[in-house]
Amino acid sequence: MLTGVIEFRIDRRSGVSTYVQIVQQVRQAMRLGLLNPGDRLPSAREVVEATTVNPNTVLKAYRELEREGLVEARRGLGTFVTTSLSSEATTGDDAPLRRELAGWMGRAREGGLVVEDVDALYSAVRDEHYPAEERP
Amino acid sequence: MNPLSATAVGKRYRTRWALRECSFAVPEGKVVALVGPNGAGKSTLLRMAAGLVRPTTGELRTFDTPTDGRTHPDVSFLAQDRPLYRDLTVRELTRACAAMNDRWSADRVREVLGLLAGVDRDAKVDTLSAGARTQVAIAMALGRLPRLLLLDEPLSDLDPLARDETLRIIMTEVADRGTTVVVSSHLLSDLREVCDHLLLVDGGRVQVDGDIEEVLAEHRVLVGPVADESAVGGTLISATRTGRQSTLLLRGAGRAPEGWAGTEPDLESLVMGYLRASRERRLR
Amino acid sequence: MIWVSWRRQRPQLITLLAVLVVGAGAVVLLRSNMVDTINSLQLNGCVTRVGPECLEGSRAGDFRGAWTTELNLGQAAILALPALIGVFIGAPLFARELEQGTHVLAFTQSVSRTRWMSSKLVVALAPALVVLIALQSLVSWWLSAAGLLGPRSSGSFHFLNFGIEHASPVAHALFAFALGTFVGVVSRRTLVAMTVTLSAFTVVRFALSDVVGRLVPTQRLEVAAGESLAESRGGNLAVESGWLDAAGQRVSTDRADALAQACKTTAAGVRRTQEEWLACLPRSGLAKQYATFVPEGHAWQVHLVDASIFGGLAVLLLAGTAWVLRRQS
Repeated sequence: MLTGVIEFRIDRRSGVSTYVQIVQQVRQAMRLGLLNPGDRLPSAREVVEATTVNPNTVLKAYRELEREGLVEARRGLGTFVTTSLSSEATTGDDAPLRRELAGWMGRAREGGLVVEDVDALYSAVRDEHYPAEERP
Repeated sequence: MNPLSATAVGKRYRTRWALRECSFAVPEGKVVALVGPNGAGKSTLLRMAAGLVRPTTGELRTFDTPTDGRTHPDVSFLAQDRPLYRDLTVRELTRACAAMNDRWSADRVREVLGLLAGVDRDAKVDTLSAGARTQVAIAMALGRLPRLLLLDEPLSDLDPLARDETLRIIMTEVADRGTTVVVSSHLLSDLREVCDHLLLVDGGRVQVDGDIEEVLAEHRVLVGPVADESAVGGTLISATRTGRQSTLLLRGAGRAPEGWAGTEPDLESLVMGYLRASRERRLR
Repeated sequence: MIWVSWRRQRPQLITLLAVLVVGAGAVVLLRSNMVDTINSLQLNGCVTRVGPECLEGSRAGDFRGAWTTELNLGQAAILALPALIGVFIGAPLFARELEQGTHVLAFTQSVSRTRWMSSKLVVALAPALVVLIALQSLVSWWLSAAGLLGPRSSGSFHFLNFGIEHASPVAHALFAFALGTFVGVVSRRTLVAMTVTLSAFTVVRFALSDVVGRLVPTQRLEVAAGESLAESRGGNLAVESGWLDAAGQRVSTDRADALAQACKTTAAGVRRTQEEWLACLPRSGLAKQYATFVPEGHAWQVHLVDASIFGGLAVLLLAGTAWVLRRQS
């Protein structure tokens, strides 16, 4: 149904507001190279038809992305991605860092760790290297 | 110009006040969740906005016109008991509604009815399920091409699939035409994902009125020792206490003091906090 | 809007049409059978004038025995039709909408309440009146075929005759209909409205049937004691009668009865003859008898008064209906 390139998955039980989820998913898609400059984001109506969210929320998320300079609204045409967030390090399945992380995950699983253990380890290490105060 | 605004509106039925001193304004293009327990005055408020009930005190305006026993041409109303001519077929009902309106979009109605899976247009309205009747009633409301859509418990008798179908139609309406919507429900969970404005009513009074994100950002849930509540700032809305621990809902609290943990409340706990406080006030 | 009202009213309109068809068929058939009877009994002369053979003859008796019930039923049907219109068309018209809440659907569309109301009133009432007038004319046509052999011989003011002639049935129907709508919007319950309408209509109809005759100019007849007042009777509407004293003042009924009783015996207790009694009356103060009446030829005046009273009540009730509906939430 979508003519745009990405589809939003809104998790109703996450406690994270719909607006934040949309912003995060666009950013993530841009980092992973799924959205590149010139791509059109789905229109509010397209998002509504696919996921039954409030179109005002979609527009608000797009405004936030525009404020961050990631996208640009063109009158009558839609909202387009203007910059690139992807880099060699994050794009594609064979990016070196991704490969290393995949290897680590594989070992964790072999070692009998469950998903909660993995999440806890990951968050703890992440917070060591990216302290909360420094994050935007 | 606000699609809907109230100034000190009150409504008395004989000796009982259904609404009292209600003041609020609904900004254009918002999807408003009108939330409150059963009997809170939600239906009275919506019927008043639809021009069916006259306020006893104060003034209610739709598009800057006082609602004086007349429905504003830009307002559509879905009543809680879904009044439809039951002895007509859906097709005949559509024709009847078209005949009763100066402005009517047969295309819009056809489009909406076409999206609804369970509605046979040659079936008598009486033979439809309660859910299908609600959907037909919404289609009729949209045929008027409203700029303000008032929906009284639109989801109460729908199964999950029909609920999603119906919400999608309403949200598409908002996306296409920028329609302002006021949806009432006694279940917040029905409305959380689709609304961006909260109007919480209880005991006939407006308890909260505002943009949901802003309202949430204004409030804090603080958890800390019972003995140390004096350190907390802001306005206390409600509190639950165990032997040692207090959980407080506060407005404008600022940073959590030493020994307290603070988080932004989710919509459910905010609403619950206000309803609890309102009930305690009434019981006192 | 007319289409909406028509569609909502369709079952009642179909019923009305059926009543018209069945009623008209029945009247045509009965009338033709009755005319056959009149011909076969050779009573044709009795239709327009009253001869001795029309009053006591066995042929006239046969005819009356065979047809009086049918003719009276025909009259009763027209007499009842206004009540039925009130109960089955007037009372449910708004009561059912209010009961089912469907007035809210109409009130929240752009059509005004006044237009909604008037369109419903017209679509419900006009066909009912047309059917009523048609059946009234048919029954009247049937009754004239029986003429003086039939119920017409009891005179225009007889309850069964008066209620089905001239403008009276339409006025009664208007009143019953308006009463039904008013009770309907006040009670908001179809069954209650129907029951109350039937009782209230019956009460008002009987209560007013005596009153209307007093509201038109009457004629007065005065005769000496013992002479006949027959001229004031017949098909006329008797309004009042009694005794006058020598000065021409009315003597109260109780006193007149007492005086007349006293004259029957002398002071010594001997019973007086009829002549002596008549001579005694003027001496006791009962000089003359009088009667006031409305001549049969003036029946149309009484019909007009009747129609204006019921029509006026109907207008008031419709105004009341409109008033209540405008305040309805």
